[in-house]
Amino acid sequence: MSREPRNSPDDRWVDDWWIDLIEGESTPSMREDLTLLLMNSPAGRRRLDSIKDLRALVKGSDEVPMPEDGAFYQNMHDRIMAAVDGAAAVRRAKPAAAAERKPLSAVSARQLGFPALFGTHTLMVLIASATWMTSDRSPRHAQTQSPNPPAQDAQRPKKALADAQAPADRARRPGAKADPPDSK
Amino acid sequence: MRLDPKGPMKSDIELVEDVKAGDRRAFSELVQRHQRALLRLSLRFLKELSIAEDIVQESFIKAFEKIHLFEGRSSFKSWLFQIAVNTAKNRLRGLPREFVNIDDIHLGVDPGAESGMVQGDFRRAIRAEVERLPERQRLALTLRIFEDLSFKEIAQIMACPYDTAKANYRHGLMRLRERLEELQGETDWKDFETLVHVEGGRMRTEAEQ
Repeated sequence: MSREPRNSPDDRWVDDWWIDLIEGESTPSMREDLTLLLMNSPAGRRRLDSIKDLRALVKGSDEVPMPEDGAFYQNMHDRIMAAVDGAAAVRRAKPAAAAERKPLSAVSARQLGFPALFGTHTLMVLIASATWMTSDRSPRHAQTQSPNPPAQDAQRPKKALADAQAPADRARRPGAKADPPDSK
Repeated sequence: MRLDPKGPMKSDIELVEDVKAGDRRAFSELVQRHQRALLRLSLRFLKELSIAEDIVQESFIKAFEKIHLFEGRSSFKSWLFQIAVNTAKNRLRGLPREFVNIDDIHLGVDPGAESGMVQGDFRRAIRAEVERLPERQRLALTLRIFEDLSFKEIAQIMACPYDTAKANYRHGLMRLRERLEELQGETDWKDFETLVHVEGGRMRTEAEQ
């Protein structure tokens, strides 16, 4: 490997040409030019050879510990095919399962039948009632949640009703005179 | 397992068409053809055999599931390699470094050694430097030099333009050269140039023969 300076962009370009030549990537005209250059440039020849040597060295350094036993590859093949078959089975099963699972909207009342429909309706009414009873609006909830005593609370509407009805009651009382109309 | 021992061997593309038509045996044939190369590729990324086997299996399953997407614009092998490279990358992200590290490789040379480096150290040093290259340069170099793939195939595996694949390879090779020269300065490798020339020349001659 020569130690000639080669940091200039020109040198890098030339290296690219040599690499292309080695890799069989040069165009025919470029190949002709480089062949001509090689005949007249010992430095170019050394450079080309050093890149070829480096490439050969890299290739020679390859050391992947591959299993050599034929049974190993047969086993690996069998495992792969078993896994592939498993994946294929899962893939086949998915559309079938999807087809079996119908959305609820696709199920008609006729298919369900009247008893099932009635039962569902009753259940929904019960759930709604239970929800309402436990909600803020329910009277039971108001009783338990109100800051006033329940007795007072219960008397309030009664008192208001009594106040509103008092004149009418007095008029209806036997012997009682109705208030004279305002003559003014 | 051959599909039809008496008939002509089908090409990969023909086998893929058979698989698309529902022929399981055709896929079995593709596995037979490519499992060894795929295992070697996986072992380059993941040093553990059992993990590399997992990568091979996972890659074949993905290939089987996505085979309807394979249009035959590239070779089946490079398509499969692309799947394996991506699967290996994903796996590497979740692994501790010892499965992929080359730190355990001894790079240094015995300071007392006067006779220069031995061939084994030199090769280990080269392997270690290949592994230290930036990922894309290393991938391009590995696929080109070790797997003998064309730049077109490499571009497909790396999912990049043809010229980018070539540029990654060139930069990787030149970077490797610079790094080995730096190592020469850092060590007592007195006969570095001779070793490169003699060893490289010998390997080149063997390869050419």
